[in-house]
Amino acid sequence: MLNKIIKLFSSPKLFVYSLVWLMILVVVGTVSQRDIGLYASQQIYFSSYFFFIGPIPFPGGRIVLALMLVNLVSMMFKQNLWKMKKIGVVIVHLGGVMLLVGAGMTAIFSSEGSMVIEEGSKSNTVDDYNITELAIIDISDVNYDQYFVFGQPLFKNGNNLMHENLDFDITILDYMDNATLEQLKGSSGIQFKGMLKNFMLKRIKRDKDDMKNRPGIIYQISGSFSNTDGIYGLIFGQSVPATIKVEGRQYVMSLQKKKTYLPFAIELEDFKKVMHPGTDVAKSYSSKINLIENNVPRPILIEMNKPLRHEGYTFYQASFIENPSGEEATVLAAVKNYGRLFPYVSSIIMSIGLLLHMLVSMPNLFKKN
Amino acid sequence: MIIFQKVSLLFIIVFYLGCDNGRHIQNYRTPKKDFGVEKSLINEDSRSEAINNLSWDLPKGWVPSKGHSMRLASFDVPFSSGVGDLSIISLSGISGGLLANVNRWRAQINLDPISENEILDVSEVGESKMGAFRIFRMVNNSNNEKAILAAVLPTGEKTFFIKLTASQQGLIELESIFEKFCSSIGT
Amino acid sequence: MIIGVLTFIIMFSNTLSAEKFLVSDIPIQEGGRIKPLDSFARNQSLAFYGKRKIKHDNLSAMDWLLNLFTHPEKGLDQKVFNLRNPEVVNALDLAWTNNFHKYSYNELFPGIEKQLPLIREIFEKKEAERDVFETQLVEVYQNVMKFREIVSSLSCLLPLFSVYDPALATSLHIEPGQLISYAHVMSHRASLFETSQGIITKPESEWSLSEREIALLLYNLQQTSSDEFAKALKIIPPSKNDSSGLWLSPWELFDGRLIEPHQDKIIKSLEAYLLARFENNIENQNTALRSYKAGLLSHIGKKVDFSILSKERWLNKADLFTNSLVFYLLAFILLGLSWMLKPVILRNIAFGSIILGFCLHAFGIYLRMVIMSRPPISTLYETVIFVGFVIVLISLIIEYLRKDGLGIFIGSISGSMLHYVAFGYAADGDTLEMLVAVLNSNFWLATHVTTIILGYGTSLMAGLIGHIYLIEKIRVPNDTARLKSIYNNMFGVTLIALFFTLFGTILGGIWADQSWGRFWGWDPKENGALLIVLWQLMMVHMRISGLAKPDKFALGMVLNNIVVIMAWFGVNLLSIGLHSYGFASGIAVNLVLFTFFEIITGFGTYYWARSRNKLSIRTKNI
Repeated sequence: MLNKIIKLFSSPKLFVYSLVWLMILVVVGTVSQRDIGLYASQQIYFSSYFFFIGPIPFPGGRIVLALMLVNLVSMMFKQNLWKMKKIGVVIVHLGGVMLLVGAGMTAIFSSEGSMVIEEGSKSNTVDDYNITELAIIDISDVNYDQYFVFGQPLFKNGNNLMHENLDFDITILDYMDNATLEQLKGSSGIQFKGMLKNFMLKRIKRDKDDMKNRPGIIYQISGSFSNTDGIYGLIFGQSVPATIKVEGRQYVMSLQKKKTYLPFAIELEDFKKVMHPGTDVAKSYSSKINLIENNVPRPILIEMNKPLRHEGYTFYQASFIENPSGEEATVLAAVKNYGRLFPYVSSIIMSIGLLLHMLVSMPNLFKKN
Repeated sequence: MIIFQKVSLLFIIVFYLGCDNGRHIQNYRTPKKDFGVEKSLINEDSRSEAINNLSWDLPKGWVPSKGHSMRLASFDVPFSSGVGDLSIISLSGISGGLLANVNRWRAQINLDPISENEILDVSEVGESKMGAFRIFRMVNNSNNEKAILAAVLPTGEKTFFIKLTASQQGLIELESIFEKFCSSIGT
Repeated sequence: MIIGVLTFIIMFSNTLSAEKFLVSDIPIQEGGRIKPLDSFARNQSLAFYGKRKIKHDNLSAMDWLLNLFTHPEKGLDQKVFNLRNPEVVNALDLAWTNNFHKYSYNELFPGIEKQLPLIREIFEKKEAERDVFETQLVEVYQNVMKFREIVSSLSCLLPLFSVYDPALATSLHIEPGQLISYAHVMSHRASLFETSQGIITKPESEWSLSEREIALLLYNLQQTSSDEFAKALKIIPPSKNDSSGLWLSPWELFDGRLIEPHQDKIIKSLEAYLLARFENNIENQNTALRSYKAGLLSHIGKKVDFSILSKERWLNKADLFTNSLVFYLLAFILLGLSWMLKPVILRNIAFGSIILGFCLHAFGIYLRMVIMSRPPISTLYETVIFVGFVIVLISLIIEYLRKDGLGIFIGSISGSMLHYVAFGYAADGDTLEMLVAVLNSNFWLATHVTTIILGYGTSLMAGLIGHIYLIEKIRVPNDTARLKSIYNNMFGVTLIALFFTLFGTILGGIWADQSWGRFWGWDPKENGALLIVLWQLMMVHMRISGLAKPDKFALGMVLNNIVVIMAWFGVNLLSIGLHSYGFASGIAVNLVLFTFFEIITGFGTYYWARSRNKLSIRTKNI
């Protein structure tokens, strides 16, 4: 019985069928990027377990790769594999196992975000590229700001967001992946407050370039039993802050990218960019920063292809922002990835395996006629 | 093999059960940050005035275009990778204040407004037949297809605004000729 | 022997640098790098005219450019703008009738002026939203603008003004009646200012004859100075205080700034050169060029590398890849002839021909590498050239081992086809371009891209051998020894291809991890490479598990060619969008044609071979 199961899971036929499905996924996923963009395609086809076409579920990238991992591991238990002649093959497959395990770890345990730091300022937060959160910030106290943060998975229509230290309730009315503000011709109903008094928050089609999407959210505040109760709207990146006052406390409300706080801060001293002369094609960029931990600053230079690795995070020089008065801000990509080293080790192992196998079998394949 | 499969299945189940909404709510404190709550946008309208008799040295290649009725003059200005739009309008007095107008132009290309003292930093002075003028260069780095070069020429009773809209590349190419054009404006 | 060839190549390229400084070698900064004026001329000719020389006037690009400088009026009437679209021609109020569909600046400019409002509207649209007509109209507009700028760029150095009044002539340090340039007058503006005091103080009616002449001169100077917008020719190295490293165009020097000695020397030499060319005086031209070079040498700052300039100029002229293509085609024809007539000697000549083509091919790659100081696989164009190089190299080895023409067959076909594809890319513009920052890491660039390219090359070879296997199976189904030997070669090459594509894909992930922080992002380029690996993995495992016999494996490798070509070229189309015309649609059409060709020939030969097999088994059993 055991042998039968091993035979089923370790057969090359299973590998071939998984491969075929993976290839189909890759083609469909790639072509779809033209219309829905990279992030959406990743979410639907590759980082998912299942996806639906109409009512029918199909296996997504994670299931297929997990199946291939099982197949590969089962194959290791095959008795007749462990022969000297097949040593190259064995090593290659071991390398493959490592690669898939590493991929799994990255898929489940890693996170990626950006840090935008102006020259002369410092930051200790990493902003997610896509996921948003609703932050209600109590700025009444002189010494600190108090944050109440609700994550995007909670933005389902009709959901109530509450916290014991918050004097009012929030009910989500609508969340949009991409929105725009339209000026109202007349005035709105009396229940609309803040920005919604003069503007309408409208849902628009998702841009396939994720950087261009501006999420929007409409929610109702209740429970303050004052003029503050009403319907509010926020759009990502709005220049005028939304504020309310409840029971003598002043709050700022903001729809922002999900923030992760780091146990250290990065301060940008100077950003330098070198262009190919007479063009606007960048040749290289670098950021001269101070890594501040426990109030001790440590000067470091982050350049393209030379990132900073600290506390499980890696900070890459991704891009920059320049405003007309010449002030520059650096944009760093911050990545936390536990499975980072697996591909390196696996590629070395696999190459050794393939080379060995080729050395063993080449002479026969290229015999002179 | 059976054990292996059972364990992995268990792992997957536990992983999903572990999801509960509680982990999506956070509450914490941070040191004070400035949210700019007292900031407000300056937004004034400007009104049109009658046409005036102006003359200038028209640079080679600039072609008169239709423009709006509010404009004294309108030109299509060609450059290597596009065509800019130049308009001359005149408004009485200081029409809403220099600051208001600069911030209005900035808003037109999605730039945040600036303050009074920042204005002196971002402009240059030139001399025309009718007096001194200030040139403002406004560029939005996240959209370099729209940039504005504007000259403000106050002449006592009227203030003339000469505004060139082009891409950032256009501004680089046309800057010196724009200044020359403004210097040549007279009655 | 190989060492001998290599030494010869290196020595020969070094002799190129010892040549004298020609006008084609004049350095100009464009596209972020210093290139010889010859390259600039060829690129502009390509952009306006569609070819790298003005064919119907039988002018080289360099001569055309120089004529533009010395005789701008003629240049404005020269029919050098190639308009392919009748709608555009109509919009500019021109007739589509002339045979070449080429028009002059003077014919085009009035139409352009009329259409400025429409052109401005088109610029407001995003590139992806413009239709064919709009895109081409804008292209014509930009070319016309650029042309105008080039023509006006050196007007400050042309001998346009003549001065007859003795006093004025003396103040300008010339003989009366001598022709001088704007630049010359500017360098004497102090004394000119003194002499022109009279005009400022006196009313016009009281001016003397000489003062009238001064006024006329000043008026002419002012008219010419309207050319100061023209900054297309960045041939003057910056001053040592200028940290931007940006070179200047002659008109930029006359904006009132301090002109450095080396800049002054260059300007004066160029002026002398233009005058000498105007007068057709070869000796003076050479003297002027020598003085120009001295001016460049006296520039303190990043030194100009004259040997690289002359190498690039030589490369432009030698057109190595076209010549290489000719020898590959010749080898193919000779091989075909050798199969029909006397085998051995023709085949040897064919072998010689393909080797010669290969040497030219290799030399071209070597020169490009030296000129750009980077591995020769940095742009799509270069990858095509390099894959051709790899395939021909392996084919030469196979021919050396087998001695039966198989190698020549594979090499000549692949080499020619890939050169042809590369020409398509060369028609786009300057093939020697600078890279964006992320591609600047030479180590990862070299390893990852080289490995992937080797993977593409070997995969295409395996596919080609797959075709051959199926054809042989139809021709000689009973020659099992021959079939087995071809099959073994095919399987061997496939394993090599798998090694390179697998390793290359992983290296790509490592490069991405080092630069951006994520090993794999499922983006089109990565997915393309992955697809090749997966397909080859699948074929190899199908063979191992018995799911595929040799002939099915051969078919699989033929289809693999489609996957490789899609990954190599197809992924680029996803971002451009299949709606745009011009070269992108050309690629799309070719991709589709190639896919159909491979599918039809692959499946066709496969089923044909199968039916022949059944037939021969049946006849065997009788």
